[in-house]
Amino acid sequence: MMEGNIQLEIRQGAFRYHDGPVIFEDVSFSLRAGQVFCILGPNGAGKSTLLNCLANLFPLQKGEILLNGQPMHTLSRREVAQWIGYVPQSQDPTYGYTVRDFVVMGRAPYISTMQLPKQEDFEKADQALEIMGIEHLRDRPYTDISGGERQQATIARVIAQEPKIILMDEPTSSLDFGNQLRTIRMIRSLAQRGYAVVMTTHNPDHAIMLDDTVGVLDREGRMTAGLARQVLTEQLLSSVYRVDVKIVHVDAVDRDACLTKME
Amino acid sequence: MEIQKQHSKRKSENALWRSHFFIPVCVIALVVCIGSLCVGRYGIGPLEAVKILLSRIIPMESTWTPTMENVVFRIRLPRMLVAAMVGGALSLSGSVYQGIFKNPLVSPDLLGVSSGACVGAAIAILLGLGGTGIQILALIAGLLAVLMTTMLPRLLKNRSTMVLVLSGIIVSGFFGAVMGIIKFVADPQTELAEITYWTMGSIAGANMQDVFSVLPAMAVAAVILLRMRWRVNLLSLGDGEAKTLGVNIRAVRGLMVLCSTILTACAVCISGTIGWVGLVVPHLSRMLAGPNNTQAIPFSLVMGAAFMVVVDTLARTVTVAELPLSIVTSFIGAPLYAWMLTKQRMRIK
Repeated sequence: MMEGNIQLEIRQGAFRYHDGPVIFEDVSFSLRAGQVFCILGPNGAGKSTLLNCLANLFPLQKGEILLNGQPMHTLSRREVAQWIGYVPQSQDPTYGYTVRDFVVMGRAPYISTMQLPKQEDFEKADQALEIMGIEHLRDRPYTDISGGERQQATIARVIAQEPKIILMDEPTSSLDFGNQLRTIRMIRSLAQRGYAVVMTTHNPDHAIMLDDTVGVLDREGRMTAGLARQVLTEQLLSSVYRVDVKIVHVDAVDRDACLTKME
Repeated sequence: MEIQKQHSKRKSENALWRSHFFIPVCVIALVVCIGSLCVGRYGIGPLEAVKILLSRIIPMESTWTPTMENVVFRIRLPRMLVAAMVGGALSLSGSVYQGIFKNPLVSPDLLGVSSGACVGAAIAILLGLGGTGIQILALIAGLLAVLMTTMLPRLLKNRSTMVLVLSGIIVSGFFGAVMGIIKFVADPQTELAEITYWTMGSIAGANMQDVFSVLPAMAVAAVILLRMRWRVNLLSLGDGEAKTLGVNIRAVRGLMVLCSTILTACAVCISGTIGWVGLVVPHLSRMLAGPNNTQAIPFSLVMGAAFMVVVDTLARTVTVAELPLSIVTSFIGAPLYAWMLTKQRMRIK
């Protein structure tokens, strides 16, 4: 897994809104194909802001982001979109496009401004629906399906986009317990398919389950990054979340879990 | 055989005839257009009307009177063409505005584009400018209006449907007031009549010169919008998602707003402000063709043209005197829109 090229790298990244306080600074990490990077941190620590910077939506104040060694700010939106796919946290659809019409929109970076999607683009969309196992939703209006199904459709759209890197903003929020776990498994299988995945999450257990790399943003906007099993300590999590966190090995599921005592 | 099959499949993926309604809608539009040449105080048979039209291309024996030919070519054909162009332009731009502003409640008139363009045209008349001057000023004022309308939600940092609609009402109100001032200062003998003619929305005096004066600009804008229609889907997802799909938002949306505003301004130049068409027809087209703009936008164009031809034909035949077009579009459009809202059970946020 570790021998892939570095797909995404951020060096000494810092961000603040106009005259507002610093959201994060001195953030550095890199990601190879097949790796998952979980961004953890308390509410308001700037997880989503960092993800939006990586998605080329906000410009970094300082530092730079490299895509396959090239500085992102030198690339056009279209070029970036061929490298990075983005799954937003929530969507607010106005028009009920069919799921297939929605997924084919992932082909946008490969279709020139005055063109319509071609047969091969629809074929790629159909393959993506198949990979996600949601062919049955193909002709359903995107506005009529559940939140979990909508997320799957959005991931299918990202697969149709054929990026190297997939960014996911809190993919498990607003999902029930079962769907959260299914999403985590699905993220692992995306990594096994060779995508580099960056996701934000509120649940350190998810980072433990994925057992890959992690970056913890604290309230001051500084990041501790590294392997999940090294970075995620009781001490760090307790100080970041301001609760007494215990990491316990649970034999029944054969993994560590984050727990806390009720007073 | 295999290759041929694949090839035909490749073509059919986006093809308009995949929608069962497109050919019927085109046929109805054609019938309506020919019908409008026949009805009126001086009745002409449909066969005669078609023959008169074709006689200009294919030489054939005359089975009609010179009066008939005069009525068709001098009066009804230019009117029909102007009506079709205005209806098609307003509906096409309405569909595009609804898509790119992510808002099914907007239209050229609700965004203030029509009243802006009207003010521009009125100023041009006051300044004594000719046809091109009227078109250019109408376009500039129309663009100004749409910029103002979209500015308010940005200032309020509130992108909801309601704020954009409210903003359109404010801008329309403002341009309405400007229009009032212009009418107040206009010379009641000459200019006032001409300006009032614009605001009423009438194409009674339409001639071929009107058609040709706006046709080039309209055709270019319409072709660009038709070619970019898939991108309307992308923009309707919202700015963030469209950006991460590699869309250069500012350029693409700018070009679309420009083209839609050109269409609206040109329509205003030849017919004044005509309400409802640009709101109702895009909804009707989505009901028939589905929300995908690859299909819905061409539908909107054809249906808008047919709708306006029907409206204009009614306006000149229902009563002895000519009815202003806006009255007829409102009469048909308002109840139709109410019916569609209940039918779609539209959720408005």
